[in-house]
Amino acid sequence: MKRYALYPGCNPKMAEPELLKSVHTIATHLNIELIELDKVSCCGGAHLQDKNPFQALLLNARNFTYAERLQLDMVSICNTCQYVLSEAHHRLTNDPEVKRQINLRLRSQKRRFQGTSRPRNFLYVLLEDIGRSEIRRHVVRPLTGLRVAPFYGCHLFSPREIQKSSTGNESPWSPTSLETIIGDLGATPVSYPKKTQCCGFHSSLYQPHTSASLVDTILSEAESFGADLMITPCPLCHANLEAFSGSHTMPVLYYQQLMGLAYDLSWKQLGLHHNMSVRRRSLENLLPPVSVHFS
Amino acid sequence: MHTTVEQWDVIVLGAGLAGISAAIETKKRGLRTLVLSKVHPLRSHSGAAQGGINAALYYDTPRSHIKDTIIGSDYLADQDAVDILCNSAPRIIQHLDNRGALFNRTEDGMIAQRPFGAQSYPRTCFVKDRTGLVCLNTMYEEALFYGVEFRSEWYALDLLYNPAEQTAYGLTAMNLVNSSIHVFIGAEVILAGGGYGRAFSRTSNAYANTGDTLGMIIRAGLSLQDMEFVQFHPTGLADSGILISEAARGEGGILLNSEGERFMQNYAPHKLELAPRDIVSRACETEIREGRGVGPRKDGIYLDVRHLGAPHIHSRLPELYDLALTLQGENMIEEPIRIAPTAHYSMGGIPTDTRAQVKKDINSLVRGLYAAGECACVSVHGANRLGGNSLLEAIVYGRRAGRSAAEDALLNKYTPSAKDGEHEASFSLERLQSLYLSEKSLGFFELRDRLRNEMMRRSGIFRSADDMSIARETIYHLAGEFRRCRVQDITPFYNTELQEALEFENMLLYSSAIVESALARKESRGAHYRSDFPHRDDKNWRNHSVFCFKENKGSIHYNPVLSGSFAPEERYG
Amino acid sequence: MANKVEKATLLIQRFDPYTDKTPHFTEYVLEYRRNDQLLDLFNRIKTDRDSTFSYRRSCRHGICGSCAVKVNGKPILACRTPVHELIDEFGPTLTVTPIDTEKIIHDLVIDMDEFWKKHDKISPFLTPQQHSGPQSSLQGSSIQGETLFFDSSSASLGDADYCIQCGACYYVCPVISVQPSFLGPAALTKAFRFINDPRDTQSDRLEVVFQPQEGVWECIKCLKCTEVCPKHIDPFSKISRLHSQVILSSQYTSGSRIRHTKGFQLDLLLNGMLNELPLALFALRIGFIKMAIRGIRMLFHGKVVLNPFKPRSKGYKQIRKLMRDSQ
Repeated sequence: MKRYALYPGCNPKMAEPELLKSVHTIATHLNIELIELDKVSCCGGAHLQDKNPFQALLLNARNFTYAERLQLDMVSICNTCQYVLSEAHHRLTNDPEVKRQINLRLRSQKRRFQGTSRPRNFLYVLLEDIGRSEIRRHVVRPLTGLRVAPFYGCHLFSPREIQKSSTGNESPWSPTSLETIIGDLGATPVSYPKKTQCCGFHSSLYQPHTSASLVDTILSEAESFGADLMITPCPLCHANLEAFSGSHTMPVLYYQQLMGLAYDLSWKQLGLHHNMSVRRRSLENLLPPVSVHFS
Repeated sequence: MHTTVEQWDVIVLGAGLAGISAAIETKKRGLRTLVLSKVHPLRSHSGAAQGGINAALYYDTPRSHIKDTIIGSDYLADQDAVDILCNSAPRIIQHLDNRGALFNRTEDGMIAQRPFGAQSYPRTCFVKDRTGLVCLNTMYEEALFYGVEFRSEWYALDLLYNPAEQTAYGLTAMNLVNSSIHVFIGAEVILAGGGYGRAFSRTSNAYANTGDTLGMIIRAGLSLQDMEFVQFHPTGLADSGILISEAARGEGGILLNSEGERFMQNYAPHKLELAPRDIVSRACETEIREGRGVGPRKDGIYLDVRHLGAPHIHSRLPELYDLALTLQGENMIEEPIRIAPTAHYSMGGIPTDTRAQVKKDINSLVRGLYAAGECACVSVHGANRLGGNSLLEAIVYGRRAGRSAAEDALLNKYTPSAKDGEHEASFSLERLQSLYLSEKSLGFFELRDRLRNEMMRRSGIFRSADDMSIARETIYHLAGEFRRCRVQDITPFYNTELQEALEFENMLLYSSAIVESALARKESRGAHYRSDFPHRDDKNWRNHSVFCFKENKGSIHYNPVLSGSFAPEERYG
Repeated sequence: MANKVEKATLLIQRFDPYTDKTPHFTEYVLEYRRNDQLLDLFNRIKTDRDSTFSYRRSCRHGICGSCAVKVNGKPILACRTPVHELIDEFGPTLTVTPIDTEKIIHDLVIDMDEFWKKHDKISPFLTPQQHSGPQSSLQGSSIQGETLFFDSSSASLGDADYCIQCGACYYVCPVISVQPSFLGPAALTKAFRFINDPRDTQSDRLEVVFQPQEGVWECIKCLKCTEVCPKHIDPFSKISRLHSQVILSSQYTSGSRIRHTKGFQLDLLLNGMLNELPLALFALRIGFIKMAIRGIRMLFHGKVVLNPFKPRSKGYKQIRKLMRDSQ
């Protein structure tokens, strides 16, 4: 059984419960043990980094120590957490002086950052550690005919030099991991140029106009390429795509939820009742009928 | 067709270091200044300079700098011009520093200086390996501070020159964006259009370096000086000619042939890799010609910096490391890289006095015309330029050109009248139209390739009367072919084919000047080497060549060098 | 190895306003060798196939910044990007467009006026002590000796002075198209360079980078600028540092943007984790009403936690202590 420390982030514990629910559901279904770290702090969200970068680094070093104590890699489920944690890990392992200063502060709490726990991302854990054949094996309801547009967001792969070991060295310009999963679930991947464009989440509170425009262009383009549905790995992107959907009606799901649909898992356990862009009947109309169960 | 006429006090052509420096001086003194450039100022080739800028600071003395420059010039530089260059240098460094240039520093916070070719003291101030970029940015920023007006992507066509009064009064130029032609009338015209390395097939120069100002001068019936002196930098990347700075050798890099031999021992036993550039280039070229070249075509030499170690390379030569890796796929930390001599700098150019005013002949000046930077020939570099002196010359003489132009403008209060635009532009318009008239649709790209190959082979590092006579014939033939060419692109919107055709026209003119001057000089001196006259002949040839076209034929005469405190001696390596 | 020949297909966007109504793509199939850069292929198309093909280029080695173009949406310098790298990333067919498809002059040549205007707007020159302004006299123009300066001070600028103004970061920034007055990464990096040069004496530089609709607050932190910078300057890190400088400076204390950043930290001090509801209230104050409808919908979808002390990390006490020690 594969075991990982799960870094949950803040959003999934509050405004995006569907992500956390579907992650745990899928993990259980695929026989992955995720130990949710409950004493960790927020990663800083790229905002604390603006105010006090050292403090943010300190908090993230502390976060890693929890996974290190479990002797497990630390898996994120949010793009910004992924980026922030990778940057922190990279800085701490390449700058001995900074590492020394950080550990000096951590000593008061009897903690020490060693760098033994790698920052990972759940999507790549699935693709690299679990493997595509295992992902396919659990499909009981192939999503034939469903046209799915992936939305990667911007923090997942950038900066490439720093993130490449956690994200399969995917190209920030032409990634294919979500398309691969979509295809493995029996659905039709719909690629479109804006699939890696930023959704604008990080300025959405005080600059909603930017988010509204960006989200509109993303959803419009996916629609014009013929997509029925959109999936994303990131709770911040998901929140923004739903909050600024305007007149667009395309359902936006997490890829974990899509997997759960193909695995014919419980609606509630996948958190689909939380998604604001999903109406149960319309979504079910899009899906192919449940076929004979395989044992 | 309506041709707009614009009136200015000062028109500066070229927005590299020399042009910007000149414009700042005239603007500061209240003159209405316009800078025209065929590329945005920050795209100027000054930005490509890598190694550094020389100055005698701290324990060094300008006298030593002067001496090294004169010796390095193979005794062809003029003493008064060199004195000014080297004496001004410390102030220039301080000025750049005050304006924000982030020079590398010593541990005590003073300006760091590295050793450079043929200098008896480490006096090259530097910013990592991108000194040119930093100097260009700093001066451009200063120009913005003073509100200098720049117009980018205007291509100058012809000088407006009145031979009867020996006065320049403006120029014609084309807006590349929409092909409209303006006549710019100005009391003072400052030419700072840069060098002409593109005439050679392996060059470190940007595509923009097509000696357009030199073409303009020739067409105006004025002269060019010392055109035969073309510097070949020993270490350009073997495939593209792109510069691998002397700094690589200054930091300790060595040159090896195919037998792994450090061959510079045989050519310059004292200075080795840091001997004057022409000596090192000829050494490399000889090794290649005698079959000891490296690489798939055996046309290169190895530059080895592995012994410097990765941290040193990444901190002192990061740009060079990346260039070799990206453009030639070679990692200088792990392997020696392939280099070869590349046409790099034009010592020759528009003759000026030390006030940067253009000379018509030895005793008379062209009123209202100044030149500075690589396109000018004062002469500070004589027959061979020292690394680190070019950035210095551009700023020193750029400023002098500006100051002189301002002085003369305020003194003379001469305002050329805005003449009839149509008339002034007619010569340029005819030239443009002739490029579209030919019935044949012969393209000129192939002609350009042939010219460049010919110049490299026969009028390059090693020259002889036989070779150059053939080159002369070829150029004549190509010029004829060119008249039968027709530009295909008829768009008025950023017509790059038209621009390249006009540049090629200039290339033919100044290449002629180079070959004629080289044929005429029956000696070897500095960068000009003749296998049929391999020795320096001070008695007969310590002179500046002056070339011009008279009735479609090239004619050359000679002016003496202003000699000073350093009598010619044998130049050692 | 370097001489092995491969084939590439370039789909290049062409447009000559003199003859074309709209831009269109033309396909060229070319051979290339391992060390060929994209510019080499452009040149071959121009000299061998279509002399009207137009693009900017000058230095050939990535220092002048002329030749920025987009390949499959990614801005690169054509002269310093090997073709094989592009093929590895995008496959054997490369789609080439100008870096800005809105303001084309001819083929890949665009009008960069807006870009240069923004560069000029941030006072891109050092204002050293000797000078009082553009009207200062001649005497001001030099020489009290060079400054005493250390490499560590230059290093703290993080190569911000190395920018070649190629436009790659500016034209990839998604904010520019939706907020045209945004200064953009290149101008902000240049502003950063002068704000952090200890020799500069101009005191109002931060004000320029603070302006709504123009300054650092418009940045959505997407990191594309850092991803594409050919000189590896990391413009985003400069913008981030400018954020902290604006917050730290006593001049700017109000506004929803400042409150958002301060509030973020306060939230973490309280709970160790972020609860967006109190943060939104704190930052937006009255403006929160605009979000009320969305808030109600979220409530019905079980996405709102009304308790300000939830979510709270179980380690919140240690987190608070650590944060207090590093304020």
